[in-house]
Amino acid sequence: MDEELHRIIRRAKRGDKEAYAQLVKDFKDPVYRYALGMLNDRMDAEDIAQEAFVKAYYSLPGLESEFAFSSWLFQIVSNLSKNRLKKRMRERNYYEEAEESTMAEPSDPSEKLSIEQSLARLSPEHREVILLHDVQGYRYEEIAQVTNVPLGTVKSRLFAARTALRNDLRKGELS
Amino acid sequence: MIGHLNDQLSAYLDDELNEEEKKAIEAHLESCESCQALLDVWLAMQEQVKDIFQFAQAPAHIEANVMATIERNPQLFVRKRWFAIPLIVILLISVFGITTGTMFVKFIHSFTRLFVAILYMATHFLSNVPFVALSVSVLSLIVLTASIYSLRKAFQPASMERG
Ligand SMILES: [Zn+2]
Repeated sequence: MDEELHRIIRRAKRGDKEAYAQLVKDFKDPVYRYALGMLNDRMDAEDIAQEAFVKAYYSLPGLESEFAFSSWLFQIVSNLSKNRLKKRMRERNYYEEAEESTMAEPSDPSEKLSIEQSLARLSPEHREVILLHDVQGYRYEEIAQVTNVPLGTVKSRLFAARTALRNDLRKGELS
Repeated sequence: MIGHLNDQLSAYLDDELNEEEKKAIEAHLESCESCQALLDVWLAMQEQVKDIFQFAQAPAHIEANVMATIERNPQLFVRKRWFAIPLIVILLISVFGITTGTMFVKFIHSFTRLFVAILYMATHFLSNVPFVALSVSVLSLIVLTASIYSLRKAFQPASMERG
């Protein structure tokens, strides 16, 4: 992270709205992408991204160091996304909507599963590490901070996620 | 392959290993085709995942919506220096507490002294009561004994005369 960005974060921390608008501009694409990857729905991703930026603004005074801003921001997005997924699960259990559960399945069983569909079928914990690593380009250390798990867990979880993703893709190939 | 290098191979792909661990993986890869193939699969998968989101862009209005929400609720932003307010309140409470505390201690102290005085008087009075009661009962016992004795003495001559 460059010095310019740190200066903007410091200004935003003091309540400078102009500086915060700049931060939203700089981070909205990665934040939106991550939410989209987690939720697999544009409207929900937009919702969560907005909610995360609003929440982050009011929590900014509690941010200890401007160096930790991006992992701190992604921690907020991650928690909001997981809460949204849980809410969806509750609603799904309540209504028992069959059509929703088939959303990620191909209409034709012989059709090969796309990487997008397979990613959507991973557990949130597995999808999260894949997105943070492969899309956001985070190191294990940063992923550990965002997901609040030990470094060793990040390592084993990423391996498990890759194995699960590959197995799911292969299932499509074999049928 | 599972049973080969597992998460070490995955960490190797991510360049998260130290030199020693890296060398161990590379030595294994020399002779293990299945791990080499797995590495290639993972690499291709990684590229595919990256591609999904490559062109995904946040809607332009996100920024405006966020800023509008913030403008509507400026009171929610708590500046760090505002943390001084609870601190001052705590300080005031403690000062108040200490002053009233000493007053309270003084109050308790004088109350204790008064209570001790009352207690002393009470015990003194109470200790006097048994004395009075004892003297009265002892006295009455003496009077009773004396009267019985005199009574028996009064009847004795008659019985002796009979016997
Ligand atoms: Zn091997």
